[in-house]
Amino acid sequence: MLGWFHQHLTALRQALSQFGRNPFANLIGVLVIAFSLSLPAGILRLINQAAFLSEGTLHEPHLTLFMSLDADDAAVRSVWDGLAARTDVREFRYISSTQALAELKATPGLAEAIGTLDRNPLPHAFVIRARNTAPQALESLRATLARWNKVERVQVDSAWAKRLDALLQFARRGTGGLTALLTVALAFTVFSTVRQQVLAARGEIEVTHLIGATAGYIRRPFLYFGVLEGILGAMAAWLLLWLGRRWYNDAIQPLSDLFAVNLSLAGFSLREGMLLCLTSAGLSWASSYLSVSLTLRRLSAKR
Amino acid sequence: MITLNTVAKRYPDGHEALRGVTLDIEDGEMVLVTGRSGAGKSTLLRLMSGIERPTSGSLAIHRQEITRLSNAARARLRRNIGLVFQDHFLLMDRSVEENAALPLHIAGLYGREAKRRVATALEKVGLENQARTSPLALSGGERQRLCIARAIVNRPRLVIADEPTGHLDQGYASVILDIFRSFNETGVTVIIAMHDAAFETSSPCRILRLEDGLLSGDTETASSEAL
Ligand SMILES: Nc1ncnc2c1ncn2[C@@H]1O[C@H](COP(=O)(O)OP(=O)(O)O)[C@@H](O)[C@H]1O
Ligand SMILES: [Mg+2]
Repeated sequence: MLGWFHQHLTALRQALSQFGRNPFANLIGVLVIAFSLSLPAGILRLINQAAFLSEGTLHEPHLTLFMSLDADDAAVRSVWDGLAARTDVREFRYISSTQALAELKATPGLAEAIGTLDRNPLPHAFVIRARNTAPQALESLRATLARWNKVERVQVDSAWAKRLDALLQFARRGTGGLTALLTVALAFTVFSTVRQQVLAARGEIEVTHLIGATAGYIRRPFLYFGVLEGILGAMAAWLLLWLGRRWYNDAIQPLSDLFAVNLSLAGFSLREGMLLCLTSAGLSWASSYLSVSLTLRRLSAKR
Repeated sequence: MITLNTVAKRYPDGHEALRGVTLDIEDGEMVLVTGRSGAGKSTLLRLMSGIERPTSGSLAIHRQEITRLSNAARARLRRNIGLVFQDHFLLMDRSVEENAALPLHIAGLYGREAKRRVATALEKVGLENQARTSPLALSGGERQRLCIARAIVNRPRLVIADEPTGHLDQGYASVILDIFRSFNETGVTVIIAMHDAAFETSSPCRILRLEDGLLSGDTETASSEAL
Protein backbone atom coordinates (compact mmCIF):
# COMPACT_ATOMS: atom_id res chain seq x y z
CA MET A 1 0.00 0.00 0.00
CA LEU A 2 2.75 2.41 1.02
CA GLY A 3 4.83 1.22 -1.91
CA TRP A 4 1.96 1.87 -4.26
CA PHE A 5 1.60 5.39 -2.89
CA HIS A 6 5.33 5.98 -3.25
CA GLN A 7 5.30 4.75 -6.84
CA HIS A 8 2.57 7.23 -7.71
CA LEU A 9 4.37 9.99 -5.86
CA THR A 10 7.56 9.21 -7.74
CA ALA A 11 5.72 9.18 -11.06
CA LEU A 12 4.20 12.56 -10.23
CA ARG A 13 7.62 13.92 -9.26
CA GLN A 14 9.06 12.67 -12.54
CA ALA A 15 6.24 14.29 -14.48
CA LEU A 16 6.82 17.58 -12.67
CA SER A 17 10.54 17.50 -13.32
CA GLN A 18 9.77 16.85 -17.00
CA PHE A 19 8.02 20.20 -17.01
CA GLY A 20 11.06 21.89 -15.56
CA ARG A 21 13.35 20.24 -18.07
CA ASN A 22 11.68 21.71 -21.12
CA PRO A 23 9.77 24.75 -19.87
CA PHE A 24 9.37 26.60 -23.16
CA ALA A 25 7.97 23.73 -25.23
CA ASN A 26 5.70 22.71 -22.36
CA LEU A 27 4.43 26.25 -21.91
CA ILE A 28 3.46 26.33 -25.59
CA GLY A 29 1.63 23.04 -25.13
CA VAL A 30 -0.25 24.40 -22.13
CA LEU A 31 -1.19 27.53 -24.06
CA VAL A 32 -2.49 25.56 -27.03
CA ILE A 33 -4.66 23.55 -24.65
CA ALA A 34 -5.79 26.74 -22.93
CA PHE A 35 -6.93 28.25 -26.22
CA SER A 36 -8.55 25.01 -27.33
CA LEU A 37 -10.62 25.03 -24.17
CA SER A 38 -11.32 28.72 -23.65
CA LEU A 39 -12.36 29.55 -27.18
CA PRO A 40 -15.39 27.22 -27.37
CA ALA A 41 -16.24 27.84 -23.71
CA GLY A 42 -16.19 31.60 -24.24
CA ILE A 43 -18.16 31.49 -27.47
CA LEU A 44 -20.77 29.17 -25.99
CA ARG A 45 -21.15 31.52 -23.05
CA LEU A 46 -21.72 34.46 -25.43
CA ILE A 47 -24.27 32.51 -27.45
CA ASN A 48 -26.15 31.45 -24.36
CA GLN A 49 -26.20 35.02 -23.09
CA ALA A 50 -27.60 36.26 -26.41
CA ALA A 51 -30.16 33.47 -26.41
CA PHE A 52 -31.19 34.44 -22.91
CA LEU A 53 -31.66 38.02 -24.01
CA SER A 54 -33.60 37.13 -27.11
CA GLU A 55 -35.93 34.90 -25.12
CA GLY A 56 -36.32 37.30 -22.23
CA THR A 57 -36.40 41.04 -22.48
CA LEU A 58 -36.28 41.29 -26.21
CA HIS A 59 -38.32 38.34 -27.24
CA GLU A 60 -41.76 39.67 -26.42
CA PRO A 61 -42.77 40.91 -29.86
CA HIS A 62 -43.25 44.62 -30.06
CA LEU A 63 -43.31 47.44 -32.58
CA THR A 64 -41.12 50.50 -32.59
CA LEU A 65 -42.59 53.54 -34.27
CA PHE A 66 -40.24 56.33 -35.34
CA MET A 67 -41.70 59.75 -36.10
CA SER A 68 -40.20 61.79 -38.90
CA LEU A 69 -37.61 64.32 -37.74
CA ASP A 70 -39.83 67.27 -38.51
CA ALA A 71 -42.76 65.95 -36.44
CA ASP A 72 -43.98 68.56 -33.95
CA ASP A 73 -45.82 68.16 -30.65
CA ALA A 74 -49.19 68.15 -32.33
CA ALA A 75 -48.19 65.28 -34.60
CA VAL A 76 -46.91 63.34 -31.60
CA ARG A 77 -50.15 64.10 -29.76
CA SER A 78 -52.26 62.76 -32.61
CA VAL A 79 -50.24 59.54 -32.83
CA TRP A 80 -50.54 59.17 -29.04
CA ASP A 81 -54.31 59.62 -29.21
CA GLY A 82 -54.56 57.29 -32.18
CA LEU A 83 -52.67 54.55 -30.34
CA ALA A 84 -54.71 55.06 -27.17
CA ALA A 85 -57.89 54.63 -29.16
CA ARG A 86 -56.91 51.32 -30.76
CA THR A 87 -58.16 48.16 -29.11
CA ASP A 88 -55.40 46.00 -30.68
CA VAL A 89 -52.71 48.00 -28.86
CA ARG A 90 -52.21 46.66 -25.36
CA GLU A 91 -49.82 49.34 -24.14
CA PHE A 92 -47.33 51.81 -25.46
CA ARG A 93 -44.51 54.00 -24.22
CA TYR A 94 -43.41 57.32 -25.63
CA ILE A 95 -39.70 58.17 -25.86
CA SER A 96 -39.12 61.76 -26.89
CA SER A 97 -36.06 62.69 -28.90
CA THR A 98 -34.76 64.74 -25.95
CA GLN A 99 -35.18 61.78 -23.64
CA ALA A 100 -33.38 59.48 -26.07
CA LEU A 101 -30.56 61.99 -26.41
CA ALA A 102 -30.27 62.39 -22.65
CA GLU A 103 -29.94 58.63 -22.31
CA LEU A 104 -27.23 58.61 -24.89
CA LYS A 105 -25.43 61.47 -23.17
CA ALA A 106 -25.40 59.53 -19.92
CA THR A 107 -23.31 56.94 -21.70
CA PRO A 108 -19.65 57.47 -20.89
CA GLY A 109 -17.61 58.08 -23.98
CA LEU A 110 -20.56 59.10 -26.09
CA ALA A 111 -21.31 62.31 -24.15
CA GLU A 112 -18.52 64.28 -25.74
CA ALA A 113 -19.33 63.20 -29.26
CA ILE A 114 -22.95 64.12 -28.77
CA GLY A 115 -22.02 67.46 -27.24
CA THR A 116 -20.55 68.55 -30.55
CA LEU A 117 -23.85 68.06 -32.37
CA ASP A 118 -25.72 71.30 -33.07
CA ARG A 119 -29.05 69.55 -33.58
CA ASN A 120 -30.71 66.51 -32.02
CA PRO A 121 -30.47 63.81 -34.69
CA LEU A 122 -32.87 61.45 -32.94
CA PRO A 123 -36.56 61.11 -33.78
CA HIS A 124 -39.40 60.81 -31.30
CA ALA A 125 -40.40 57.21 -30.89
CA PHE A 126 -43.10 54.92 -29.48
CA VAL A 127 -42.58 51.38 -28.24
CA ILE A 128 -45.85 49.52 -28.76
CA ARG A 129 -47.01 46.16 -27.43
CA ALA A 130 -49.84 44.57 -29.37
CA ARG A 131 -52.63 42.52 -27.91
CA ASN A 132 -52.28 39.85 -30.58
CA THR A 133 -48.65 38.94 -31.13
CA ALA A 134 -49.15 36.51 -34.02
CA PRO A 135 -46.83 37.48 -36.89
CA GLN A 136 -49.64 38.34 -39.35
CA ALA A 137 -51.48 40.49 -36.80
CA LEU A 138 -48.28 42.36 -35.98
CA GLU A 139 -47.54 42.86 -39.62
CA SER A 140 -50.98 44.31 -40.40
CA LEU A 141 -50.76 46.63 -37.39
CA ARG A 142 -47.33 47.71 -38.57
CA ALA A 143 -48.65 48.47 -42.05
CA THR A 144 -51.54 50.50 -40.67
CA LEU A 145 -49.37 52.57 -38.32
CA ALA A 146 -46.78 53.18 -41.03
CA ARG A 147 -49.40 55.06 -43.10
CA TRP A 148 -50.12 57.52 -40.31
CA ASN A 149 -49.20 61.16 -40.65
CA LYS A 150 -45.58 62.11 -39.84
CA VAL A 151 -44.66 58.50 -39.14
CA GLU A 152 -41.31 57.75 -40.71
CA ARG A 153 -41.01 54.04 -40.06
CA VAL A 154 -42.50 51.22 -37.97
CA GLN A 155 -40.58 48.07 -37.34
CA VAL A 156 -41.61 44.75 -35.93
CA ASP A 157 -38.99 43.70 -33.49
CA SER A 158 -40.07 40.11 -33.29
CA ALA A 159 -38.62 39.66 -36.76
CA TRP A 160 -35.34 40.82 -35.36
CA ALA A 161 -35.67 38.41 -32.46
CA LYS A 162 -36.44 35.57 -34.86
CA ARG A 163 -33.47 36.42 -36.98
CA LEU A 164 -31.31 36.49 -33.87
CA ASP A 165 -32.71 33.10 -32.91
CA ALA A 166 -31.85 31.65 -36.30
CA LEU A 167 -28.42 33.20 -36.10
CA LEU A 168 -27.87 31.72 -32.66
CA GLN A 169 -28.90 28.28 -33.87
CA PHE A 170 -26.39 28.60 -36.65
CA ALA A 171 -23.70 29.88 -34.28
CA ARG A 172 -24.35 26.97 -31.92
CA ARG A 173 -23.85 24.49 -34.68
CA GLY A 174 -20.72 26.30 -35.81
CA THR A 175 -19.40 26.24 -32.27
CA GLY A 176 -20.09 22.52 -32.08
CA GLY A 177 -17.84 22.04 -35.08
CA LEU A 178 -15.23 24.37 -33.65
CA THR A 179 -15.32 22.53 -30.33
CA ALA A 180 -14.80 19.20 -32.05
CA LEU A 181 -11.88 20.65 -33.98
CA LEU A 182 -10.26 22.17 -30.90
CA THR A 183 -10.80 18.99 -28.92
CA VAL A 184 -8.75 17.24 -31.55
CA ALA A 185 -6.16 20.01 -31.23
CA LEU A 186 -6.01 19.45 -27.47
CA ALA A 187 -5.74 15.69 -27.80
CA PHE A 188 -3.07 16.05 -30.44
CA THR A 189 -1.04 18.49 -28.37
CA VAL A 190 -0.99 16.15 -25.40
CA PHE A 191 -0.32 13.19 -27.68
CA SER A 192 2.72 14.77 -29.26
CA THR A 193 4.27 16.23 -26.10
CA VAL A 194 3.88 12.88 -24.35
CA ARG A 195 5.34 11.13 -27.38
CA GLN A 196 8.33 13.46 -27.19
CA GLN A 197 8.79 12.57 -23.53
CA VAL A 198 8.59 8.85 -24.26
CA LEU A 199 11.15 9.09 -27.04
CA ALA A 200 13.48 11.13 -24.84
CA ALA A 201 13.17 8.50 -22.10
CA ARG A 202 13.79 5.55 -24.44
CA GLY A 203 16.86 4.37 -22.56
CA GLU A 204 15.21 4.50 -19.19
CA ILE A 205 12.12 2.73 -20.48
CA GLU A 206 14.26 -0.04 -21.89
CA VAL A 207 16.15 -0.60 -18.62
CA THR A 208 13.09 -0.50 -16.42
CA HIS A 209 11.35 -2.90 -18.77
CA LEU A 210 14.29 -5.31 -18.71
CA ILE A 211 14.58 -5.33 -14.95
CA GLY A 212 10.94 -6.09 -14.43
CA ALA A 213 8.76 -3.01 -14.76
CA THR A 214 5.25 -3.73 -16.00
CA ALA A 215 3.68 -1.66 -18.77
CA GLY A 216 1.60 0.11 -16.12
CA TYR A 217 4.68 1.19 -14.21
CA ILE A 218 6.34 2.46 -17.38
CA ARG A 219 3.24 4.34 -18.52
CA ARG A 220 2.57 6.02 -15.19
CA PRO A 221 4.88 9.07 -15.26
CA PHE A 222 3.80 9.85 -18.81
CA LEU A 223 0.14 9.67 -17.91
CA TYR A 224 0.81 12.00 -14.99
CA PHE A 225 2.63 14.32 -17.33
CA GLY A 226 -0.25 14.38 -19.83
CA VAL A 227 -2.91 14.89 -17.19
CA LEU A 228 -0.83 17.59 -15.53
CA GLU A 229 -0.48 19.35 -18.86
CA GLY A 230 -4.24 19.10 -19.38
CA ILE A 231 -5.03 20.50 -15.94
CA LEU A 232 -2.54 23.34 -16.30
CA GLY A 233 -4.10 24.05 -19.69
CA ALA A 234 -7.56 24.14 -18.12
CA MET A 235 -6.33 26.52 -15.45
CA ALA A 236 -4.79 28.78 -18.07
CA ALA A 237 -8.06 28.58 -20.02
CA TRP A 238 -9.88 29.65 -16.87
CA LEU A 239 -7.60 32.67 -16.59
CA LEU A 240 -8.14 33.53 -20.26
CA LEU A 241 -11.90 33.30 -19.83
CA TRP A 242 -11.75 35.50 -16.77
CA LEU A 243 -9.69 38.11 -18.61
CA GLY A 244 -11.89 37.84 -21.68
CA ARG A 245 -15.04 38.32 -19.66
CA ARG A 246 -13.64 41.40 -17.95
CA TRP A 247 -12.61 42.88 -21.24
CA TYR A 248 -15.99 42.12 -22.81
CA ASN A 249 -17.96 43.52 -19.91
CA ASP A 250 -15.98 46.75 -19.93
CA ALA A 251 -16.58 47.07 -23.65
CA ILE A 252 -20.28 46.22 -23.48
CA GLN A 253 -21.12 48.55 -20.57
CA PRO A 254 -22.00 51.60 -22.76
CA LEU A 255 -24.34 49.47 -24.87
CA SER A 256 -25.96 47.98 -21.79
CA ASP A 257 -26.63 51.49 -20.49
CA LEU A 258 -27.99 52.58 -23.84
CA PHE A 259 -30.55 49.81 -24.11
CA ALA A 260 -31.16 49.62 -20.39
CA VAL A 261 -30.67 45.86 -20.52
CA ASN A 262 -27.94 43.95 -18.78
CA LEU A 263 -25.67 42.71 -21.56
CA SER A 264 -22.75 41.85 -19.30
CA LEU A 265 -21.59 38.24 -19.10
CA ALA A 266 -22.07 36.35 -15.89
CA GLY A 267 -18.90 34.91 -14.35
CA PHE A 268 -18.04 31.24 -14.59
CA SER A 269 -18.98 29.26 -11.51
CA LEU A 270 -16.61 27.02 -9.58
CA ARG A 271 -18.60 24.07 -10.86
CA GLU A 272 -17.98 25.09 -14.44
CA GLY A 273 -14.31 25.50 -13.60
CA MET A 274 -14.15 21.99 -12.17
CA LEU A 275 -15.95 20.66 -15.21
CA LEU A 276 -13.42 22.34 -17.47
CA CYS A 277 -10.54 20.79 -15.49
CA LEU A 278 -12.15 17.36 -15.44
CA THR A 279 -12.88 17.43 -19.16
CA SER A 280 -9.36 18.48 -19.94
CA ALA A 281 -7.84 15.97 -17.52
CA GLY A 282 -9.92 13.13 -18.97
CA LEU A 283 -9.09 14.01 -22.55
CA SER A 284 -5.41 14.38 -21.70
CA TRP A 285 -5.36 11.07 -19.88
CA ALA A 286 -6.87 9.29 -22.87
CA SER A 287 -4.53 10.84 -25.39
CA SER A 288 -1.42 10.31 -23.28
CA TYR A 289 -2.44 6.69 -22.76
CA LEU A 290 -2.77 6.26 -26.49
CA SER A 291 0.48 8.10 -27.10
CA VAL A 292 2.54 6.05 -24.64
CA SER A 293 1.08 2.77 -25.85
CA LEU A 294 1.62 3.51 -29.53
CA THR A 295 5.10 4.93 -29.03
CA LEU A 296 6.17 2.02 -26.82
CA ARG A 297 4.88 -0.44 -29.38
CA ARG A 298 6.91 1.29 -32.08
CA LEU A 299 9.99 1.26 -29.88
CA SER A 300 9.71 -2.42 -28.99
CA ALA A 301 9.08 -3.31 -32.64
CA LYS A 302 12.41 -1.67 -33.49
CA ARG A 303 14.26 -3.64 -30.84
CA MET B 1 16.01 -23.48 -10.95
CA ILE B 2 16.07 -23.23 -14.77
CA THR B 3 15.06 -26.06 -17.05
CA LEU B 4 15.30 -25.96 -20.86
CA ASN B 5 13.88 -28.68 -23.04
CA THR B 6 14.70 -28.63 -26.79
CA VAL B 7 14.49 -24.86 -26.79
CA ALA B 8 14.75 -23.04 -30.12
CA LYS B 9 14.67 -19.35 -30.81
CA ARG B 10 13.98 -17.98 -34.25
CA TYR B 11 14.01 -14.17 -34.66
CA PRO B 12 11.32 -12.48 -36.75
CA ASP B 13 13.84 -12.06 -39.59
CA GLY B 14 14.01 -15.86 -39.82
CA HIS B 15 17.42 -16.24 -38.20
CA GLU B 16 17.61 -19.26 -35.93
CA ALA B 17 19.77 -18.15 -32.99
CA LEU B 18 19.27 -21.26 -30.84
CA ARG B 19 18.43 -24.84 -31.79
CA GLY B 20 17.41 -27.77 -29.61
CA VAL B 21 19.02 -26.63 -26.39
CA THR B 22 18.29 -28.92 -23.45
CA LEU B 23 19.85 -28.26 -20.06
CA ASP B 24 19.16 -27.96 -16.36
CA ILE B 25 20.66 -25.41 -13.99
CA GLU B 26 20.52 -26.24 -10.31
CA ASP B 27 20.27 -23.93 -7.34
CA GLY B 28 23.62 -22.47 -6.32
CA GLU B 29 25.49 -23.28 -9.51
CA MET B 30 28.12 -21.03 -11.05
CA VAL B 31 27.70 -21.25 -14.82
CA LEU B 32 29.80 -19.70 -17.59
CA VAL B 33 28.27 -19.57 -21.07
CA THR B 34 30.99 -19.29 -23.69
CA GLY B 35 31.10 -19.19 -27.45
CA ARG B 36 32.10 -17.03 -30.34
CA SER B 37 30.37 -13.75 -31.02
CA GLY B 38 27.03 -14.58 -32.66
CA ALA B 39 26.92 -18.07 -31.16
CA GLY B 40 23.68 -17.28 -29.30
CA LYS B 41 24.93 -16.48 -25.77
CA SER B 42 22.85 -13.32 -25.37
CA THR B 43 19.81 -15.03 -26.81
CA LEU B 44 20.14 -17.90 -24.32
CA LEU B 45 20.51 -15.46 -21.42
CA ARG B 46 17.50 -13.40 -22.53
CA LEU B 47 15.44 -16.57 -22.63
CA MET B 48 16.68 -17.72 -19.22
CA SER B 49 15.78 -14.35 -17.71
CA GLY B 50 12.32 -14.28 -19.21
CA ILE B 51 12.93 -11.26 -21.42
CA GLU B 52 12.04 -13.25 -24.51
CA ARG B 53 10.00 -16.37 -25.16
CA PRO B 54 11.36 -19.44 -26.95
CA THR B 55 9.91 -20.13 -30.39
CA SER B 56 9.58 -23.81 -29.53
CA GLY B 57 10.43 -26.17 -26.68
CA SER B 58 9.78 -25.45 -23.04
CA LEU B 59 11.61 -23.28 -20.57
CA ALA B 60 10.83 -23.07 -16.85
CA ILE B 61 12.26 -20.50 -14.44
CA HIS B 62 11.60 -21.15 -10.76
CA ARG B 63 9.24 -23.90 -12.00
CA GLN B 64 7.16 -21.40 -13.97
CA GLU B 65 6.72 -22.23 -17.65
CA ILE B 66 7.78 -19.07 -19.49
CA THR B 67 5.79 -19.72 -22.64
CA ARG B 68 2.56 -19.62 -20.67
CA LEU B 69 3.22 -16.39 -18.77
CA SER B 70 1.78 -13.04 -19.78
CA ASN B 71 4.05 -10.07 -20.44
CA ALA B 72 3.24 -8.59 -17.05
CA ALA B 73 3.88 -11.92 -15.28
CA ARG B 74 7.24 -12.28 -17.01
CA ALA B 75 8.08 -8.70 -15.97
CA ARG B 76 7.28 -9.59 -12.36
CA LEU B 77 9.37 -12.74 -12.63
CA ARG B 78 12.36 -10.65 -13.77
CA ARG B 79 12.24 -8.68 -10.53
CA ASN B 80 13.57 -11.75 -8.76
CA ILE B 81 16.46 -12.11 -11.16
CA GLY B 82 19.51 -9.89 -10.97
CA LEU B 83 20.35 -8.81 -14.52
CA VAL B 84 23.61 -7.31 -15.76
CA PHE B 85 23.73 -6.34 -19.41
CA GLN B 86 26.47 -6.08 -21.95
CA ASP B 87 25.79 -2.36 -22.32
CA HIS B 88 25.56 -0.51 -19.04
CA PHE B 89 22.01 0.75 -19.33
CA LEU B 90 22.56 3.24 -16.53
CA LEU B 91 20.45 6.36 -16.16
CA MET B 92 22.94 9.18 -16.51
CA ASP B 93 20.61 11.82 -15.15
CA ARG B 94 20.23 10.02 -11.81
CA SER B 95 22.72 9.56 -9.04
CA VAL B 96 24.57 6.31 -8.43
CA GLU B 97 22.30 5.38 -5.53
CA GLU B 98 19.15 6.18 -7.51
CA ASN B 99 20.35 3.87 -10.26
CA ALA B 100 20.97 1.14 -7.73
CA ALA B 101 17.53 1.70 -6.17
CA LEU B 102 15.62 1.33 -9.46
CA PRO B 103 14.69 -2.37 -9.05
CA LEU B 104 13.42 -1.66 -5.54
CA HIS B 105 11.24 1.16 -6.78
CA ILE B 106 9.87 -1.05 -9.54
CA ALA B 107 8.99 -3.60 -6.90
CA GLY B 108 7.36 -0.86 -4.82
CA LEU B 109 9.96 -0.71 -2.06
CA TYR B 110 10.86 2.77 -0.85
CA GLY B 111 11.95 4.41 2.38
CA ARG B 112 14.42 3.32 5.03
CA GLU B 113 14.53 -0.37 4.07
CA ALA B 114 15.24 0.59 0.46
CA LYS B 115 18.03 2.96 1.54
CA ARG B 116 19.56 0.22 3.66
CA ARG B 117 19.53 -2.29 0.81
CA VAL B 118 21.05 0.22 -1.62
CA ALA B 119 23.84 0.98 0.85
CA THR B 120 24.53 -2.73 1.31
CA ALA B 121 24.60 -3.37 -2.44
CA LEU B 122 26.94 -0.44 -3.12
CA GLU B 123 29.19 -1.62 -0.32
CA LYS B 124 29.42 -5.09 -1.84
CA VAL B 125 30.80 -3.66 -5.08
CA GLY B 126 32.93 -1.01 -3.37
CA LEU B 127 31.01 2.05 -4.49
CA GLU B 128 29.77 3.21 -1.10
CA ASN B 129 31.72 6.47 -1.33
CA GLN B 130 30.28 7.43 -4.73
CA ALA B 131 26.61 7.01 -3.83
CA ARG B 132 25.72 10.64 -4.46
CA THR B 133 27.73 11.18 -7.62
CA SER B 134 26.57 10.81 -11.21
CA PRO B 135 27.40 7.63 -13.15
CA LEU B 136 29.03 10.00 -15.64
CA ALA B 137 31.81 10.51 -13.11
CA LEU B 138 32.51 6.75 -12.89
CA SER B 139 35.10 4.78 -14.84
CA GLY B 140 34.04 1.90 -17.08
CA GLY B 141 34.81 -0.64 -14.40
CA GLU B 142 32.96 1.34 -11.76
CA ARG B 143 29.93 1.61 -14.00
CA GLN B 144 29.91 -2.14 -14.43
CA ARG B 145 30.12 -2.51 -10.66
CA LEU B 146 27.15 -0.18 -10.33
CA CYS B 147 25.23 -2.42 -12.74
CA ILE B 148 26.05 -5.35 -10.50
CA ALA B 149 24.90 -3.42 -7.42
CA ARG B 150 21.63 -2.70 -9.22
CA ALA B 151 21.30 -6.39 -10.10
CA ILE B 152 21.71 -7.62 -6.53
CA VAL B 153 19.91 -4.86 -4.63
CA ASN B 154 16.73 -6.91 -4.60
CA ARG B 155 18.68 -9.87 -3.11
CA PRO B 156 17.86 -12.22 -5.99
CA ARG B 157 18.52 -15.98 -5.78
CA LEU B 158 19.57 -15.85 -9.44
CA VAL B 159 22.01 -13.45 -11.14
CA ILE B 160 22.41 -13.43 -14.93
CA ALA B 161 25.18 -11.34 -16.51
CA ASP B 162 25.80 -10.91 -20.23
CA GLU B 163 29.52 -10.28 -20.91
CA PRO B 164 29.91 -8.12 -17.79
CA THR B 165 33.63 -7.78 -18.47
CA GLY B 166 33.32 -7.20 -22.19
CA HIS B 167 34.42 -3.59 -22.15
CA LEU B 168 37.02 -3.98 -19.43
CA ASP B 169 40.69 -4.82 -19.51
CA GLN B 170 41.90 -8.23 -18.41
CA GLY B 171 42.98 -7.28 -14.90
CA TYR B 172 39.72 -5.58 -14.12
CA ALA B 173 37.69 -8.46 -15.54
CA SER B 174 38.97 -10.75 -12.81
CA VAL B 175 37.88 -8.20 -10.17
CA ILE B 176 34.36 -8.32 -11.58
CA LEU B 177 34.39 -12.11 -11.76
CA ASP B 178 35.52 -12.29 -8.14
CA ILE B 179 32.51 -10.19 -7.14
CA PHE B 180 30.20 -12.67 -8.87
CA ARG B 181 32.02 -15.55 -7.27
CA SER B 182 31.51 -14.04 -3.84
CA PHE B 183 27.75 -13.94 -4.49
CA ASN B 184 27.87 -17.53 -5.62
CA GLU B 185 29.57 -18.46 -2.38
CA THR B 186 26.55 -17.16 -0.48
CA GLY B 187 24.35 -19.60 -2.40
CA VAL B 188 23.22 -17.35 -5.27
CA THR B 189 22.97 -19.04 -8.67
CA VAL B 190 25.16 -17.12 -11.12
CA ILE B 191 25.06 -17.39 -14.92
CA ILE B 192 27.64 -15.38 -16.86
CA ALA B 193 28.12 -15.16 -20.62
CA MET B 194 31.72 -14.75 -21.70
CA HIS B 195 33.39 -13.99 -24.94
CA ASP B 196 35.71 -16.74 -26.17
CA ALA B 197 38.84 -14.87 -25.11
CA ALA B 198 40.97 -16.70 -22.58
CA PHE B 199 40.15 -16.17 -18.95
CA GLU B 200 41.06 -17.87 -15.76
CA THR B 201 38.85 -19.47 -13.18
CA SER B 202 40.10 -19.62 -9.64
CA SER B 203 37.41 -22.03 -8.46
CA PRO B 204 35.30 -24.72 -10.04
CA CYS B 205 32.41 -23.82 -12.27
CA ARG B 206 30.26 -25.25 -15.01
CA ILE B 207 31.00 -24.21 -18.56
CA LEU B 208 28.40 -24.30 -21.32
CA ARG B 209 29.77 -23.90 -24.82
CA LEU B 210 27.59 -22.61 -27.63
CA GLU B 211 28.41 -22.99 -31.28
CA ASP B 212 26.18 -21.49 -33.91
CA GLY B 213 23.06 -21.89 -31.78
CA LEU B 214 23.83 -25.41 -30.64
CA LEU B 215 24.97 -26.52 -27.21
CA SER B 216 28.31 -28.15 -27.99
CA GLY B 217 29.83 -28.54 -24.57
CA ASP B 218 28.76 -28.84 -20.94
CA THR B 219 31.69 -29.43 -18.57
CA GLU B 220 32.69 -28.91 -14.96
CA THR B 221 36.13 -27.36 -14.48
CA ALA B 222 38.43 -27.65 -11.55
CA SER B 223 40.19 -24.58 -10.23
CA SER B 224 42.93 -22.60 -12.04
CA GLU B 225 42.30 -24.15 -15.40
CA ALA B 226 42.91 -21.99 -18.40
CA LEU B 227 40.27 -22.25 -21.09
N1 LIG C 1 16.82 -9.23 -32.14
C1 LIG C 1 17.42 -9.98 -33.08
N2 LIG C 1 16.87 -10.07 -34.30
C2 LIG C 1 17.45 -10.84 -35.25
N3 LIG C 1 18.58 -11.51 -35.09
C3 LIG C 1 19.18 -11.46 -33.90
C4 LIG C 1 18.65 -10.69 -32.83
N4 LIG C 1 19.46 -10.83 -31.77
C5 LIG C 1 20.45 -11.64 -32.15
N5 LIG C 1 20.29 -12.02 -33.42
C6 LIG C 1 21.15 -12.93 -34.17
O1 LIG C 1 21.18 -14.17 -33.49
C7 LIG C 1 22.49 -14.66 -33.45
C8 LIG C 1 22.93 -14.86 -32.03
O2 LIG C 1 23.02 -13.60 -31.41
P1 LIG C 1 23.44 -13.41 -29.90
O3 LIG C 1 22.54 -14.24 -29.09
O4 LIG C 1 23.47 -11.94 -29.63
O5 LIG C 1 24.90 -14.00 -29.89
P2 LIG C 1 26.12 -13.67 -28.92
O6 LIG C 1 25.59 -13.01 -27.72
O7 LIG C 1 26.73 -15.03 -28.66
O8 LIG C 1 27.05 -12.82 -29.69
C9 LIG C 1 23.38 -13.70 -34.20
O9 LIG C 1 23.58 -14.18 -35.51
C10 LIG C 1 22.58 -12.42 -34.21
O10 LIG C 1 22.84 -11.72 -35.39
MG1 LIG D 1 25.97 -11.15 -26.91
